[in-house]
Amino acid sequence: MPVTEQDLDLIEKHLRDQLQENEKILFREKMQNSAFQEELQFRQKLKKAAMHSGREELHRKFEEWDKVEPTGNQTRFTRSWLNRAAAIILIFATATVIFWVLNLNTPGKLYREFYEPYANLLDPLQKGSSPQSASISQLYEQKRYQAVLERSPQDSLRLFYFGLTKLEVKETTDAIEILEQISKAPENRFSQAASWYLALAYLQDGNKDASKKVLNSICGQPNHSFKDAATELLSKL
Amino acid sequence: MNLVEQIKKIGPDALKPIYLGYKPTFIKSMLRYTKDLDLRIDAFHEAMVSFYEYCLDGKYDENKSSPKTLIYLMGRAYLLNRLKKENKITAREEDGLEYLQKGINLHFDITLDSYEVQIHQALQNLGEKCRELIHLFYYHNYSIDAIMHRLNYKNENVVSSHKARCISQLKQIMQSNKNASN
Repeated sequence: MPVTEQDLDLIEKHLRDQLQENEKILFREKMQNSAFQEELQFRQKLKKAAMHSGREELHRKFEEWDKVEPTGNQTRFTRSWLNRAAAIILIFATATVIFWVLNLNTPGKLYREFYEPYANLLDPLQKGSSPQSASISQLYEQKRYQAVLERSPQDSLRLFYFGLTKLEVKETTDAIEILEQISKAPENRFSQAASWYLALAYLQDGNKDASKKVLNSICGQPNHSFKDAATELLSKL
Repeated sequence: MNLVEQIKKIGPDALKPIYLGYKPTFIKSMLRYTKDLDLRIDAFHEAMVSFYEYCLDGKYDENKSSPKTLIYLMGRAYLLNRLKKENKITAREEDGLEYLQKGINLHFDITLDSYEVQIHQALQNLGEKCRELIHLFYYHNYSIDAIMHRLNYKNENVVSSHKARCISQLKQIMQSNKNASN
């Protein structure tokens, strides 16, 4: 028995999980029909192939978004326009070189380039959660640094966030002391992250040599979570 | 209009501001796992696809999580999974699985069987309008009514009959491809 329009409608609803109770009963009856089964199987596979094809189109769309948008219509060049353009480029290039020389990989610049707050993966903030019951990692995530500092660092988790917060509020000496302590305890689950932030703390403090020492130590550990980042930063020091 | 409503109205283009705004931060934050820029970009793309499909499934609730949080979790999961498979990282088993706590299911790799490959190839040989209609219905989960508005059809019956013709064409292409290879 060939499939009808009503059969196709049932199949499409089934694929979208939209069958009503009475339709589910009808669907089960129709499954006795081999043509119905065959069409169902075809549409299931069509859905999967369309997903694959749809994803390919999405990827192409993302690649388009990554490209620089072409500018508008081309204008005709005149000699005087070229001279003016050359003069502007020369001034800009000179200013860029001067700026570059003045800002050549200073510790502060590298710190700003490589620093980002530690991602809270333990208990990320949920919208609507009560501020009173926020954990120390959530307080840090919310940038409520004073609140973090008011919690006494009784355990390794709190101590780590204490150290990170000291770095955020630029109490660098304290940050270095705390992060160094944690980084020297390999059994501490935050020791690898602490060593990375210690290297950054030394940069914030203007101490390139101390930072390099920590980074070299990180790079010497093949399984260190921050090895790639440390290698990149070290190449710029 | 919230994000999910925008996606239902204009499709993946609704994600462009999030894509352009968040990409640099994501790429930088994944530096801790790998220096390979292409791989980090790949992870971001996969995360955006997963997030898009999460919205299509009607599971995204903007009152519970920001797009940034979910995209970060999804992208990180993809990247860690890929690095583990290529033995480029030693991570704990549970690393990268935080998305499970949020009830998210991720399917990064879709493997097609031989019949699905035939359908996929035939889809690429369909006319653009038919392929667009099929994508809208079977991938982007548009209803017939939504397709009518999106593609400016006269009414729902016209959409349904065009869809039926497109599927019939698809089957014909599959048959001729099969005949050609025999």
